[in-house]
Amino acid sequence: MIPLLEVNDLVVRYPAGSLFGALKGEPRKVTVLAGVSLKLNQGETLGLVGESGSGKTTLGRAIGGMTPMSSGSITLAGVGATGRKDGFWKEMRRNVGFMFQDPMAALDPRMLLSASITEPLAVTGTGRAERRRLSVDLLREVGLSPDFAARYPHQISGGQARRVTVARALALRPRLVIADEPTAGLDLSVQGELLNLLNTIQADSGVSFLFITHNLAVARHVTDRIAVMYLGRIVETARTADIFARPAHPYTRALLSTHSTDTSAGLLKGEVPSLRRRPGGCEFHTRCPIAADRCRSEAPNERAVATDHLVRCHFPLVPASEATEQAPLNHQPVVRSLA
Amino acid sequence: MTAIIDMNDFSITYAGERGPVPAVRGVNLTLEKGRILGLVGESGSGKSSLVSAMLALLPKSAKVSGRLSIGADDLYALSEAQRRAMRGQRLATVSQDPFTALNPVIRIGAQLVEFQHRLKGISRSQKLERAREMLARVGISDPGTRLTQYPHQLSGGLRQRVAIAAALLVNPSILIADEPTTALDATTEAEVIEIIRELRGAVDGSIVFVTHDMGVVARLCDDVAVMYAGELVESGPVAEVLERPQHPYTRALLACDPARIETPSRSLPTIPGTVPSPHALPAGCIFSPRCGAVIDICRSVRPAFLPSDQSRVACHRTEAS
Repeated sequence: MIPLLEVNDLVVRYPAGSLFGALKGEPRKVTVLAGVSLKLNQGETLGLVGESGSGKTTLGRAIGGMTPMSSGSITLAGVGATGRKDGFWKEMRRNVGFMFQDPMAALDPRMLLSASITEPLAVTGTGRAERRRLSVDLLREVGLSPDFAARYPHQISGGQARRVTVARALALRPRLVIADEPTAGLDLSVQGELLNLLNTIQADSGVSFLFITHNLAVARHVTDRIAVMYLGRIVETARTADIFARPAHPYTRALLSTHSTDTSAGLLKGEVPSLRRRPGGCEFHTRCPIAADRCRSEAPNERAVATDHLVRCHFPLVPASEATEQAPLNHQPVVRSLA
Repeated sequence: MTAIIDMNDFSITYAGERGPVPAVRGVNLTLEKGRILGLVGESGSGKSSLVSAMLALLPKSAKVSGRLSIGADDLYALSEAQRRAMRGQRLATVSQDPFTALNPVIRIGAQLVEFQHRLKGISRSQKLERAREMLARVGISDPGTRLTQYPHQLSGGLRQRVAIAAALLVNPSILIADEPTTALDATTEAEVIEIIRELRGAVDGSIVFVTHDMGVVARLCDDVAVMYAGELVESGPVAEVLERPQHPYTRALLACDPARIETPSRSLPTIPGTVPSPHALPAGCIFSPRCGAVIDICRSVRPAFLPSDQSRVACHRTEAS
């Protein structure tokens, strides 16, 4: 089966730092995504979890072509992009719907909701009357009455605003929806309604979701697979049930333990390191409870610890006999490409 | 046991454009010394209004009735000046957003000294030394350096720890933490909660922890009070309320929490209906329009807040059983 979305060794760097800093030998660029590879099948939901600054949002934006990539490639529904070639992006963006983090900020306060919802259709040259008609259909799909079409963002609640952004994300009938923290700030009862809505839409249309969240409790219910990010890298990928039952990376284990009443697994000490001063070796060793000498000097390659279960750690928390080092797929080890 | 906070039929009404807004109605709640109370409720439940009332920070347009006592003092029988004096000494708060709680253009040390301006008889250098000690107590490494830094040089977790240190410097008898971890990452949140748990002995009184996260309540609090649409519907010891919730709203709220649902499910429970507007409150029980266990009396008579086992519950069905 050909995956709907394939991201290969994606690197995103931002210019940063000052001339003064450069004279002191500091890098002029900050690497936000340090070689990310992932696959997403049609109709599947992939959860992207990690702390703030781990690069979740940047990855989502890069897949939608909103953040220029420095190297690597993205292939969506058979169309590939490796740089800023606009032709590719235009074709790709038709297949991607976006739900941004803050729904109120994502809606233009001076635009009627009908106009906001159908704005993505402008690219297809759909006429105004047709767009208004479609907005009513989309509103109905997300469980809002047609009279919302003639309202402004300030006239609706936070939960309703989320539904409106779902409607807009669906306007182009995309094959992939990137949902950035879709339930942040929602009350528990409303959160359930929104998640159920997303699930219904997926069951009906077979759309794929890239579900960016820091809420593991939510991810456990609504995702098929989970990718855990740390400092701009995916450190572990597995089926959702496996992530929760057999987390192999110490970072994943620490994240999971923050949600249980049993904190015996140990809380993470220290701060997330700065992206400008990435630690050598395994980048998690500064906070890792089981770091050894090897972790400080040598960056771990991605290895499979079980079927569909990849982890980037020298000492994954699974029986040693099961772990086999896997040769890097079709690209150079990430560490070297950064040097 | 002495009661640090005692509320008796306490109500808050705001003057609104479309008539008075009864934001909090008839709350009866007691918090004993040395305990941590989790105040739980969704948006519009009135928990923020109640917290503002405890901090004597209600806007001028608010009218209060009933009684809210802090220790021996009836807070709203005091003069404005007396209330303000309490705020700097006996009441302290850690706010939701560690990014706006600190002044961005003043060094941490100077701010922590300023927080102690009501402490008499000690010098500025002694205050600075107290600040340094307090930073060390909240787990900040190298506190001497932090004192000379500005807020933007600190991460969110560190800033929230500075805010906790600032609140504790005044030796409050009540520390009110208003969703202090919502802006933080999961790992930082766990750290901050751990610090509050460790430092509870440093508060010569009680802690009120406002949250919507039942997991946090279970980990940190001794007592829990559940609010809905401006009323207190259930209160009691955490173990009791979380294990054997009696009010249908508490039950529904716990059922909605994805962290408490054992088997992964694509169809999550919700509470049908919406929170009533304070302008159009239902007659009888406030939760009756959304309640699955509603009976006739619920739609006409407001249930009293009565003891039931170790908890207190406002529900006709509990009284009947």
